[in-house]
Amino acid sequence: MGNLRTTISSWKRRHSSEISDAKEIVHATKKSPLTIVGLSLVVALVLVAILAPYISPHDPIAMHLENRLASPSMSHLLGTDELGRDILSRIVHGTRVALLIMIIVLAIDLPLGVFLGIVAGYFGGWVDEIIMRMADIFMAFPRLILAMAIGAALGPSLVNTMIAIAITMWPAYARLARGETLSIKERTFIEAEKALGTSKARIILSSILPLCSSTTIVRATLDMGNVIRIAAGMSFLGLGAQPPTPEWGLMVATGRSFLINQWWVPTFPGFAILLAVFGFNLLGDGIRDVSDPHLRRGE
Amino acid sequence: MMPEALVEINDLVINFYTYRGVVKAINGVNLEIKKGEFFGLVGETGCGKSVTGSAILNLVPNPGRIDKGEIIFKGKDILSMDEDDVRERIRGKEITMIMQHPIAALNPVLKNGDQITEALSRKMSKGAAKKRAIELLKEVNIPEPEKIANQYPHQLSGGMAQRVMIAMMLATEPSLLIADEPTTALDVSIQAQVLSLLQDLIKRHKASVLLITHDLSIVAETCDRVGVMYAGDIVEVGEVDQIINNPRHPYTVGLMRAIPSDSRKELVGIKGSVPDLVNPPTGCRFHPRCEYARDICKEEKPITIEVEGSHTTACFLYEGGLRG
Repeated sequence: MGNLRTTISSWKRRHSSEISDAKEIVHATKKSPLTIVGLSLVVALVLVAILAPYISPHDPIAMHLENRLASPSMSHLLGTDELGRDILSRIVHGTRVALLIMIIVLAIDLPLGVFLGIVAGYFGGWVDEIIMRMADIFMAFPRLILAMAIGAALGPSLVNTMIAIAITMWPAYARLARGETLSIKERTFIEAEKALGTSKARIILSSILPLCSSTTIVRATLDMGNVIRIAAGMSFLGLGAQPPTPEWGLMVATGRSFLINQWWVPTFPGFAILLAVFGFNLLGDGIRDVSDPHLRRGE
Repeated sequence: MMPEALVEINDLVINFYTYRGVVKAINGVNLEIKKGEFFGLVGETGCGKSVTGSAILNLVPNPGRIDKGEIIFKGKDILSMDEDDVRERIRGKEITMIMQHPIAALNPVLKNGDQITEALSRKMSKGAAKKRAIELLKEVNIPEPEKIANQYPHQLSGGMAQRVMIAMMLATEPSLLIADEPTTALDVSIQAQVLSLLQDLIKRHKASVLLITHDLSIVAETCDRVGVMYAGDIVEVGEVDQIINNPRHPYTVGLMRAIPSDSRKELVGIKGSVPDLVNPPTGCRFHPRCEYARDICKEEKPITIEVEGSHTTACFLYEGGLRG
């Protein structure tokens, strides 16, 4: 017992700076109600996505044509669509699709963009030119339109949607990482590391990458809502998820002809998109504020 | 017996290619640092002291380029060595550098202990490096080394950070330590501590030091030999006593007169200002500010001559034993 206590107290002593940082972050988060709202929305979305099969009242794909376009009731809380499928169940399962697209796109883009940006910034010269001019080409088009064009060229499917969005998003991270790298590589401690004979790979991994990560991760959290929005937009246009996948954009698209008489069919999936994007944007803003020590300590 | 040379800089020329034109920063410098000595390099800001220091590591900052010369270290020319070879064998093994702003020179994302461990990582295992890091922190007189090792650089005072930096550089057991204004960013009260610590450690580790500074009082206190630089030229080299008590070059004489002391009522500055090195003065670069300047000074670059034993100066005044 006493042994355990000494282990805990020595652990606390060794990690005192991490602990005080964590406390400060919690404190700063508490002060911003919007961040709390965003965080709760995101946590709720994640829980819904994980527990989808257990909390959805009906099968999201099973058709009941005898019960089509039923208005919201106790057995179908948000009503049914034109094929008699339970809208609530489809929205719940749609959360999985939306989050999956977002996670996969960012898991590809963040490392890829940051890697290319650091390489371009650190080595400069023609490496920089090639990478950044490629990035410029992708950034010359509006993101949604470019994603649609690539999606259309690859053929409509969920995987192709992810590829299309990923291709349009890496340049933003590359630019950010390159800019950070350019300023970091001139700093004295990099010179000191060079004077110690540290290899380029090690300088990049142990000094530049960690210092680039905070800005790029904040950018990624701000982009989470965008990815969901673009994916829904592409599915709405028929380029993304294909029926009968429960995808929010697709649900709005097929339901939009019923807007006048059966308003619940397109409206609830629309709300789902709204809440998800809203939640991720608020959280992204919150993380940006909390991760900046100036904003955090300034109050 | 004269100790043998550790580093020999021969006719080093470094130019900076800027949009304003070519800055002729180092104009044929010759220098010798002997084994186990504390060599001071003094001069005004912008005279090329730091660039000379970084040239020894072959790390001249952009847009500078070493256009001529050789730097012989232990019998090998560093400048003609392969870049990877320099990194592997010289930097962080034989020669290391202490920077002017200690807090900026430490990696902000690593804990102090990890900085040192990182420097040791090429030599030993992680566990051993950790133990050695604590020992080194003790050696540079840091109280509570375990606690400091677990803090980040921004939590340190300037003096503490400079000690961590020194510990980090000592970790590599270099035979030459380049200290670029190691005390300039520190409080006066800390300066003496850091310098005497450096002296102590150097004696114990039998290394040489190239101390780059603009503060002659630091040089007088710590160095064995001194080189005086002016606008990219070494104008005078000698033992500390010779330089302080019997300076020969008019520039050094001027520097000495500019130091406040009890015996002098009035401070005498050196007239004029440091020349623009895009268009440096012809001949001796000091001639526009020199009270002894003659015609030959404007036309030819003076060669280095011995005035007394190892005391050398580059000035036409002493050619053919005219004076002194």
